[in-house]
Amino acid sequence: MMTHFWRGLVVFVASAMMAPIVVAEPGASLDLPVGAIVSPGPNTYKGDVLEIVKGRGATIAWYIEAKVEDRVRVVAEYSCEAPLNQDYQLSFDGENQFWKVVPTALESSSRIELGTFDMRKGLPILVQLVPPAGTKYPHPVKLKRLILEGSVAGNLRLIDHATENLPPPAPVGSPGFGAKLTKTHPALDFRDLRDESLTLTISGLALKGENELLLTTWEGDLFSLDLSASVDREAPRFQKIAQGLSEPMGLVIDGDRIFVTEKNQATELLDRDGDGAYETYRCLSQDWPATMDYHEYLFGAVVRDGGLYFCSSVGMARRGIDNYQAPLRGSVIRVDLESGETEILAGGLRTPDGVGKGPGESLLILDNQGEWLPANKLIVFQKESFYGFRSIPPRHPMDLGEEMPPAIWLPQGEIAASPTQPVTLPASWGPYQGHILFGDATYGGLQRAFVEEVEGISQGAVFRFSQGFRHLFHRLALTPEGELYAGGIARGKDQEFIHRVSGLTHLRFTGEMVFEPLAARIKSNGLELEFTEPLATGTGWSPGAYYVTRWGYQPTQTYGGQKIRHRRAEVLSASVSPDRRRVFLEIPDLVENEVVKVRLPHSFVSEAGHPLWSGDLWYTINRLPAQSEGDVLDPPETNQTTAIPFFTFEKGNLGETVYRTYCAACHSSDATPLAGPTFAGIGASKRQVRSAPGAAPKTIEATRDYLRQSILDPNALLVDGYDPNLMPPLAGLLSTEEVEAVIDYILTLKKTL
Amino acid sequence: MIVPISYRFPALLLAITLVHFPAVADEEEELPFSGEVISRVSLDEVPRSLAICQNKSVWLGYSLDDGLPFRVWKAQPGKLALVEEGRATRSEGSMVFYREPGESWTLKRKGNVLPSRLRYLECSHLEGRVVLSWAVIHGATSIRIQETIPLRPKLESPAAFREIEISGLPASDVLSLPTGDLEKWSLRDLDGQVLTEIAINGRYQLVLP
Repeated sequence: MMTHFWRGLVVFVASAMMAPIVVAEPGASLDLPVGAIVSPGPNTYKGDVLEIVKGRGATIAWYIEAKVEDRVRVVAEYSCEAPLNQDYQLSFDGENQFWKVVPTALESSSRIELGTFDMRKGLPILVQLVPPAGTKYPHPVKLKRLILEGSVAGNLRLIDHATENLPPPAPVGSPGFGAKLTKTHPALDFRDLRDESLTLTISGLALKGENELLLTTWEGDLFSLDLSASVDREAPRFQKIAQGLSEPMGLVIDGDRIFVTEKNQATELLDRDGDGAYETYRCLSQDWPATMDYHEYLFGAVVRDGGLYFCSSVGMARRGIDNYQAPLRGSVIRVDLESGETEILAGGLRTPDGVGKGPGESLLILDNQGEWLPANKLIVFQKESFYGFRSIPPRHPMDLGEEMPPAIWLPQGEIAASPTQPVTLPASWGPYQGHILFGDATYGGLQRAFVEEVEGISQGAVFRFSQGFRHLFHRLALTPEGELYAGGIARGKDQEFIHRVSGLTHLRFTGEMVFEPLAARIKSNGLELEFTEPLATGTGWSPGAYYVTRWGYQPTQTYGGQKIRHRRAEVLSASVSPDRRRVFLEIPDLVENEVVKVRLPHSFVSEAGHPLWSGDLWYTINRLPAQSEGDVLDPPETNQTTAIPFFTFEKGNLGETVYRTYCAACHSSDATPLAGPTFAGIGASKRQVRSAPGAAPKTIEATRDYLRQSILDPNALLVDGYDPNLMPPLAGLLSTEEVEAVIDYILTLKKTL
Repeated sequence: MIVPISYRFPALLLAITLVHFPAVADEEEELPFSGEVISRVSLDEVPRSLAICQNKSVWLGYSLDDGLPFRVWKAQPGKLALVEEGRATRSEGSMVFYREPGESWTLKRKGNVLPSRLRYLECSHLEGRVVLSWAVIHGATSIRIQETIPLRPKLESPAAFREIEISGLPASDVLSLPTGDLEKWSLRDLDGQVLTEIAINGRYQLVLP
């Protein structure tokens, strides 16, 4: 399954394209002035020119539409006094061309053709000019406008993003229904296995035999926990059994063999003399380039078919300079356990922190949003695939131009922020058998995913599952009986925070029946939902009970991405199956390469009288089956009717909902230290900030303007003590209304401690 | 239980020790790869490197890609020799031996350099020594270089001391150190004979005066 994302990929050598502009059909061209872009980010206007010095935080984009299909040429009007060391990207409805900006005469604008694209009719098209992501240039690219030259007079139209291209209104949210859960799943029983004398930043977790749990820490230690020693009744005794590992991020045990993926090598720990200590660290492989980049990790460790599988992340240290990447980063790697022979199996990963076995011995990879990843991803690995993060020369051998979409998009902030290791649930987890559970080192909790195969393509849905844990889960391990051990980790500099959220949790599935959407399956004419329990008689038949929205993504070289074509989906009918466990939602005009979000109402109850635990699911459509129609049924006479609307759309709690969704994981409302500064009492407080690491600090007041700038461009003013790039810019994710609403909410938070 | 009087004081001492020091600290001292002996994180901007403390103040920094030390340094009195910088390290002190990383063992036949690649194999921290191993691979030939770094050798004069054992070297071939290394390190066989290259499988010593 390939998207058209890479079709027509051309690295554009502008010097060869400074040709005279062909005059277009009169009235067939369209101006895209910089004054109409979505957000200038850290860049400034001078009259009708936008002086662009940096890409991160800016959304230099326009929405356009056409009445009929056409072929359009895109021309930029700009000036620039010096060359740049990286290319601009022009993303036109998912097609890319790259612009090597050529210096021009200083006082006048030059025109240059950036490329020619297919213009489809219908839904809005996003045209985005994307500067290099992290580099701040001393000399700006002075952009006046883009010009689209088509062949059909009056065909093209610029859409006002502020008034015409608004996202559909979000119903009022509450935990589990449009907002993050706050409590633990009712069918989970858990215990924090804590030794207060240790800070266990758990980076690897694996069972050795039936009764020994091994864990690695980011600091390089290997601990053992005897599970036969009644871990739920006694203080856990972690025994350090090895040390001196280099930032291990994956641990797997195959029989008696222990493998660790360290920062720069795959390693086997050996105890050749049998004295109980691992005295030899065997290098299984290090057959790929490495640099000193702090972000070059080897994530995960899975053994299957005689090989050790893991993923490498890309570097980030030089994204503010030249965005250099060592060759072969962002790969899926297999190393033969005996010979050490190393294969690069796939490319295009960014921060694939989550690696685990999926259903049917498949390999699952969870990647974190950022440059080239507009949202987080759950990937079902396929050999020789390219997953989207573009390499630089020398190109990654799998970077062949066409991108393999994820099985499931995990929208940033809504259901994931730093997704981590997945596990596939066994039969002892009852209705969730075969489902995928994964943690998140920022968003927290456990999320659940269901993957189906449609015409050979993997896709599926992600569901809210549980919050309410102390630890930010990074690594998971299941015992043969289905007991789950989950290890937490934290980033940042606040040692109290790191100590608090790192550590080990023991979870058990109790078997308690919880009413919630269990699975979602695509049909050619809609989406079928499966529930854990039968719906109450008469429940589920009203199409109005399903608030369905949908959108696509358009990857760019800058951080993150906005939803495109974000719109409400019409539900024509809702048909409940005879056993009342399934509901088929008839949705017209579903398209591939989009996410469909379904929101269920609070009012649904099960046959047993249980309320819904969670009402949100996100389904990714990679393949729309040609012939697999859902059954549209006539509602029974007992159809539940109510005068109470299923959803309300008050603005009252929009700010709090946005805060809970996008901010609360890192910014507390009650002065509890988290990864970012607390919001408690922030209004009008004095802040020590820096414009860059190492810059002189200055004191400012936390005004509304300051908060807005911090949301849209977090690196602009760094609170003293916090590193750049810790917070993703939200300029593309939040509407103006949402930004203002969350500022309103933040300003209400009082200092409590 | 009756404890013989001669055991009572050590037992009391052990009890006090256990009270005052967490179990992990005891285990840490006994486990291989103590940070006071060996650091396996990057040293001095060399991604794949490690540092070994041979004596209290003498450290050797190895480039794993080269299969050789790229620096030997001595700590300043009362100061740390190895400084943590984030999750990497930096050498601190006076340099006894230094060369730019990037040079490695050379395999030659009749004076001609044979194309070969070096593969880092493993690191063992054993009683009183650290052992590093590499393979020099030329076609189907694999020559093993096992390097032993004695910890706290009872030698006053040399700044650093290494032992190497070569196996799998074909009779037709020789192994050579980089020229700069030979200028600083003295390569000897076990009879004390100074060598310029290694032509026979066996054990050798490298001494940095």
